[in-house]
Amino acid sequence: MLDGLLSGLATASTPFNLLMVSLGCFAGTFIGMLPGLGPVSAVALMIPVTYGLEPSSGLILMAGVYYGAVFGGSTSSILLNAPGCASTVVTTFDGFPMARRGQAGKALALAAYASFSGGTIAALVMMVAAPALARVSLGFQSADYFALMLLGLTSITALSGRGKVLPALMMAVLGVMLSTVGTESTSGLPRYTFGRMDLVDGFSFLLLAMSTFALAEVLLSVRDGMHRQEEAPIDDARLGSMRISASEAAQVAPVVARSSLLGFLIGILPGAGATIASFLAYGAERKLAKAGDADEFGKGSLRGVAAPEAANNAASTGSFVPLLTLGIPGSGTTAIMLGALIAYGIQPGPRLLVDNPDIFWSVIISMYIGNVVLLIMNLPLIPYLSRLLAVPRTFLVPIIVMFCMTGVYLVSFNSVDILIMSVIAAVAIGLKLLGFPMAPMLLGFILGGYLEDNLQRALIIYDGSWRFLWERPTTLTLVVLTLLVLAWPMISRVAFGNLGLRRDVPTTTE
Amino acid sequence: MNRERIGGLVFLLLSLFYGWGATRIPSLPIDELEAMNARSLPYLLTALGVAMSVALFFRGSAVADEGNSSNSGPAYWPTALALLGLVVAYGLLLEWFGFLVCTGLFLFAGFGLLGERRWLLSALVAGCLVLALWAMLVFGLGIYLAPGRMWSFA
Repeated sequence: MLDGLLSGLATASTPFNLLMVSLGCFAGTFIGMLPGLGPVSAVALMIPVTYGLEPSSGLILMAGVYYGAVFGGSTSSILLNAPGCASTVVTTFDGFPMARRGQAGKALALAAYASFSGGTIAALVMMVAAPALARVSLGFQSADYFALMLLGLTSITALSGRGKVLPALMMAVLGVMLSTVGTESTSGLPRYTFGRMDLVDGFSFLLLAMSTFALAEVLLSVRDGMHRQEEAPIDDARLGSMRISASEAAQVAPVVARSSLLGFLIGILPGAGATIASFLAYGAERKLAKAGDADEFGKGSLRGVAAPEAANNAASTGSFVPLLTLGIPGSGTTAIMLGALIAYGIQPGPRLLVDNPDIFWSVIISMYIGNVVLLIMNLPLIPYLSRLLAVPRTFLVPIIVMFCMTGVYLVSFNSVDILIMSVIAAVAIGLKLLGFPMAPMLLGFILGGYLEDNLQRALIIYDGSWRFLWERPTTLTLVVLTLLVLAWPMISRVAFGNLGLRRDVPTTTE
Repeated sequence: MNRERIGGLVFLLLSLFYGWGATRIPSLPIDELEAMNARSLPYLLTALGVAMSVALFFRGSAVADEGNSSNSGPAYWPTALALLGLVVAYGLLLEWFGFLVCTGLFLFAGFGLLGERRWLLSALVAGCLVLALWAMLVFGLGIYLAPGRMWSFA
C-alpha cells in the first residue's frame, strides 16, 4: 500500500497535476455557484477538456471540479439562498440566516473548514477502506460482476425519492437499451443501426452526457428565467469577518467528526450520494443537540452549517469507493467519471488497483490536495468569486452553451454531432418534465455493455443455466443486496420518519 | 391525463419501437444452440420496458399530478426554444462559415436573444472570446480548424 501511496503522491503532486486540481477547484466553484448548474453539469462540461490529458491528470481535474462545484454550491446557498446543487440545500437552512445577520464570512469559513475536515477524514478512511474492498473484489467472476451491475443499477434508482423509483428504474432500462445500439460485442452483429454507418459504433458517451446534463440543464435554467436574474456584488459589510473563535471551533468539532463519518458511510452506498448524507447529518445533529441548541437550528446555527457541509464533502469522497474498487458509480457525477475512464481505455474496478495503481492512488491523493486547495485558495478568493456572480447572465448563458457545443465538436470534428446533441437535449428536457431522472439513464448506458458481456460469460460457464444466481455465495449475496435495495423505499420511509425529515429529497443527480 | 400517464404512454411506445427493432436484429445459425444471443437482451429489455410502462400508466391514474415544475415563476419557453434553435443553426452553418465566424455569430445572437441590448459590448465580448478561444486551439493546442466551405468559393 505504501508503494502505491507514494507513487500516487508523486503523480498527484507534479506541477501539472497540481495546476489541474487547482484549476478544477476554481472552475468547479464558479460553475457550482450558478444556481441550476451542479457538480454533474460542471463535470460534464469538463469531459472534452480531459480528453486531451493523461488519464490521471484528467481524473484529477474532474475530482477537483467535483469538490469545487460542491463548495461553490455552498457559497451560493449561504450568500444568495440559492443552492447550486441538491447536496447544499440543507446549508441554506442556517447559512442564509447567518448571512442575513452579517455573518456570511463566518458561515463561508465554517463551510470551508467543515468541508475540508469532512473531505480529509473521508480521504483518510478511504485510503484504508478502498484497497481492502478492492482486494476482496479481486476474486469476482463474471456471475458476480453481473450481480454487481444489477446492484449498481438498482441502487441509484432505489434512492431517487418517494414515487420516483419506478421512473428511475425505467430510465436505467432506457440507458441499457441505448447501450445496445451498435455492433454486438460477441457476435459482431449490428443492432439498431438501421443501415447507418454512423450508428455502428453506438452512441457516444460524451454526446449523451453533454446533452442530458450540460445543454439540457442550461436550457431548463433559461426556461426558469436564470438569464433574468441579476446578482448584486457581495460587499464587505455583508460578508463580515471570516474568523472562527476557539469556542466556536470546539463547539463544531464533534459535529464535524460525526457528520464526516456518517457522510462517508452513506457516500459508499451506490446511489446514496451527498444529498442524502447532508440531510441525514443535519437531522441527526438536530436530534443530538441540547434543547436550547436544537432551537437554534434553522435560525443560523453553526452546527447546522457544519454538519451538512462535512457530510456532503465526506460523501463525495465516499462515492469514489464503489467507483474505484467495484466500477460502480455512487452518484451521477461519478457515473460521468466512469464513462470518462472507460473512454481512456481504463476499466475501473478491482483490477484498477493492480493494473493502474498510479491512477488509483493519485485520485485518492488528489482528493486530499483538492481539499487543501479549496481551503487555501477558494476561501480567500470568496469575495472575488462572489463578484463573478455579478457577471450578467445574458453573457454567461450563451458562453456556457458555446462550451457545450465546442466541447462536442472538438472531439469528433463532425458538426452533425451538434445537431444530434440538440435532439438529445430536447428529448431529455421532455423526459425531465415528465418526471424521469437522467442519472439512471446515463448509468444504464455505461453499465449496459458490461452487464450483457458478463451475463453472457456467466451463462456460457454454467451451460446456459441461471443457477449461478444462487450457487455462488458472492453472487447470491449481491442479488440479495439488490433485492434489499429495491425494498429501500419502504425501509427509508420508516428511517426518515424517525429523523423527522422529508423523504422526497433529490439524490441521484449530484 | 396526468404527467405519469403521459410518461407511461411515451415509454410504452418507445419500448414497443425498441421491441420491433429487436425483431430486425440479424441472427446466426449457431444462435439456436446459444443460451444468449444478440436478440436476448433487447427482448428482455422490451418486456421490462412494457411492464414498467403499464405499471406507471396505471399508477398515474391513482395519483394526483404534482405539476411539471417546481418553479413558480414565469416559464421562458420561447427564449429556451430559440436558444435551442440557435444551437441547431450553429450545427448547420458550422461547416459552411467555419468555427471563427459561426461561434462569434452564435455568441452575439445568444447575448441578444437573452435580452442583452448593449450591442457594442456584446460584439466586443463575442469577438474577443472567440478570438482567444480560436488562438488557444490553433496555436496553443495545434488543432486544425477548417475555415469553412463558404470562404473556399471566394
